[in-house]
Amino acid sequence: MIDASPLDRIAQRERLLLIIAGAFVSLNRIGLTLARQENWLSLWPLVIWIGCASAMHLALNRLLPRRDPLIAPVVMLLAGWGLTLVARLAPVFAARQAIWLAIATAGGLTMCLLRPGLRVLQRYRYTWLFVGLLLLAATLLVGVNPSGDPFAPRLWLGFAGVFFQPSEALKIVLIVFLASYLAEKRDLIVTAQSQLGRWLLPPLPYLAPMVLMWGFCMVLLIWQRDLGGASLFFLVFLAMLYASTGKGSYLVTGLVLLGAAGVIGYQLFGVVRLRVDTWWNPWPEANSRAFQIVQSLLAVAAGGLIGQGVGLGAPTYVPVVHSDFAFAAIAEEWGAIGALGAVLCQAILVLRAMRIAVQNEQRPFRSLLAAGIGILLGTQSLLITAGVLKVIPLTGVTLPFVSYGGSSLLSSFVLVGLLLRISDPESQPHFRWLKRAPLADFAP
Amino acid sequence: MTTPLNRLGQALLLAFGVVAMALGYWGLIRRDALLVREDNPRRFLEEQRTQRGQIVDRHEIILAATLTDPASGLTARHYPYPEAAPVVGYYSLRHGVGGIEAAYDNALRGLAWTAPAEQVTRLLLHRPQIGGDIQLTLDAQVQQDVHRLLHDRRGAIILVSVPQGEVLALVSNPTFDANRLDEQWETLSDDPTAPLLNRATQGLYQPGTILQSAVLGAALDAGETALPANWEGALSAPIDDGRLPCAGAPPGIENLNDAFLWSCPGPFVSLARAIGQRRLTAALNGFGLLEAPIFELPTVAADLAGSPSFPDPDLDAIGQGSLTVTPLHMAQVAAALANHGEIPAFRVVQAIRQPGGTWQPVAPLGHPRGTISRASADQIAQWMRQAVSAGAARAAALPFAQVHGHVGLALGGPQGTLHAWFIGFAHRPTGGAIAVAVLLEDQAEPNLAAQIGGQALQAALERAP
Repeated sequence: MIDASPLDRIAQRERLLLIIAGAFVSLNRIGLTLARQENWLSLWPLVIWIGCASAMHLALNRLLPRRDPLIAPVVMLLAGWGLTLVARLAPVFAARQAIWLAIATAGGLTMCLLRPGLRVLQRYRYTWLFVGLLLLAATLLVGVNPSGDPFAPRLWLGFAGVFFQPSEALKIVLIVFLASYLAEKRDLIVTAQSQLGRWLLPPLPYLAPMVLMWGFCMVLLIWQRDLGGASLFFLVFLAMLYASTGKGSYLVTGLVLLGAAGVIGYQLFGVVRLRVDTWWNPWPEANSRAFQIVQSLLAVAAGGLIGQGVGLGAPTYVPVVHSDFAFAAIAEEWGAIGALGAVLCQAILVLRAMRIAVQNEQRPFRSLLAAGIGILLGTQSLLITAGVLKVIPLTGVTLPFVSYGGSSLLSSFVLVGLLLRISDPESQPHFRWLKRAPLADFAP
Repeated sequence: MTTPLNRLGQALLLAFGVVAMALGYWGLIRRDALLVREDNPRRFLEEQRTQRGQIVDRHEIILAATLTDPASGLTARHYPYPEAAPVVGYYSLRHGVGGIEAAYDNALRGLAWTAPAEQVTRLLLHRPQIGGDIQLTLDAQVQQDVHRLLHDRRGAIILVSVPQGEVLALVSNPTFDANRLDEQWETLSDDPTAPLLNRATQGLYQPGTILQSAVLGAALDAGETALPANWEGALSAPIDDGRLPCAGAPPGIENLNDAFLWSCPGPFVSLARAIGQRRLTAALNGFGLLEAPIFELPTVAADLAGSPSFPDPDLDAIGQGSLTVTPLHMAQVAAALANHGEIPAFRVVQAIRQPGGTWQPVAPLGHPRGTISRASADQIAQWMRQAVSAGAARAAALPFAQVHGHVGLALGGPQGTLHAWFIGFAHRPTGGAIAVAVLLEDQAEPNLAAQIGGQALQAALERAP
């Protein structure tokens, strides 16, 4: 039934790319050990990475033989790079990050492995949304910040010394919900129009969630001062709405709303004012409020074209460089070329996701889910890289796969697991045992 | 759905392109402008890693060294003799380098010996640069003693060995403490007395009657040995709306010798007219007064290009024309008179030592330079001895050594104040001589300049060469 040679080719291609990624990661990790004159035992996270990469490759060969062979190597390259970066910038977190990588890989593979899979996600969208909002509510009430700083945003839930950021789980839930909701309602949204007296209004099925979503992001912003999370959620929502309806006017309306929220936020909240002011003109306050962004630009400048070399620059002068400013550290030690490579990897991932979305056009849920994953990862990496380079105001989100942060790594891998699954057109037969009526995404 | 998906993909790709361009902008185009920013900690870090060499005096007493704080691991440049600042200079992350620290920066950093290829390897591997050491001809003890002679007076003193041309002391007051430069920089730069200016090498002053030896040299070379016939008996000389007085109080002027002994400008106006403009120019040029001296530290000379009437015999002959000089210029004149008419090649750097190497002597930058004839120079030297024994420079006399000296007054300050000058020399018992030049700003009492000059010579003579 299945021609063996194309499948072999996919596996071979992925293997070759993973070996290249492995060479890059190993070379950098060994370079770091040499630069720091560390013990060879410090290489153990590399062993974990090799284990994760091999496990992923072997498992995918079995589970998803027709997957996109580019995704896993790109993701593992970025994750390995991040592992080296965390070891270089915040060595105390290195072990933690390596363990999180193992957990994240397992999480991603679980998405490929679970039998009911995508359909369950689609069917129970309101359940997921409810769980997500419950998590968010819990954070609002009993959230903490692992640093213990009473003024830092409390975006984490802590249990037994392990901290988890529910907004990471919320990302997955949001994309799944939106993909499911829009896949079902998009025809309605496109055709229906509501009328109020003489005025022709956008359809309510679109209007209601739009307003809801905007309100939800504002709550996130006001309650938690999570500027990054709020902008990310809203932008992803807008992009997915546009992807499903193709109506540019919604995009414009949404961006106007975002701008309005920005203006209001600027008036009301110190954190928004700080970010905007230090973005527009950081130089007069380089020693006070704008210290972080100016130091970030200095790190980029210090890197120049080819960088200082791993472990040989001074990126730790940038505050919280290991999470929000990982990209500045890459620019300093690997130079503009290295940072461009990292950007390219993120761009490849986004483009593959969009390609998968186009390929699955006939299955709206899968298509929208793939697009949503690509948009989320792309927007997130754009928000932080552009922020670090003073192109847009800073929003504290992580650089996907690279920055330090366990929940971020786990949620990104889960999304990649879903993406890999969608990329394999043959992954459907797994669901046949479920004796249910065919759903929309089974349609040819 | 394909079109919106494609458009979204294109939009994201475009945004990634913008990020790539921003990378190029900050990392390549704006790179240099950013890296020189003061709040770039990498500058500090790089400097901290450089093991900057030492500066030592002629007896290998340390004048500048980098010390590491064992507690913090941070390094700081330390200057045990702040009086040596006019020569040693300063080294500051914020304000750069000055003095010998600037002139020999490459050697002190070790870059002077690093081949370009080696330099690339070093930068790639981030190996610390190890600097070389500089030995000065300065004598730290003499420098300190001579600095004290000035107390709080503004002025400059230079002591130089003859015929070697080795600068033993070079004092400029007020000066700065290089150990505390960063914290005091604002005060120092705004200070109207200009403590950051090296008066000895870069302070341009009216020479006034201290120029007489040069004019006299030209006259003697031209055969003019008597008071000019056109002299009408005026001792002082008119300048603008005032008069430049004699530096001493002469009992009477009967010959050229007397006019020189008592530093009276009047007869020299007539003398300059007698020898003519051409020979006057040649004499001033011969003593190197028209150009910046060749020296390891930055030097200056009067800008005469803008002056339509140089030399003006009536004014330039008495040092009140457009020619201004630095104390270093006058030290050259003093050294030439001590050296039978030849200016030794001045220098303040004696030897240089590569990291891990031994001291290698350094040749002076310039060459010895002839001025007037040996006979004329010796004649002037003899008159200088008389000026100390029985003339205007008596305050320079020392009990154990024969001092040759000449004092001068110059009308200089913006309020018409006088500067006092002294140039002189004394022979060493072991051979050779020490020459000195002293300038005191706003000091109408030439005796003080002579006294300080004598004491400075004493400080140098008492020390072993």
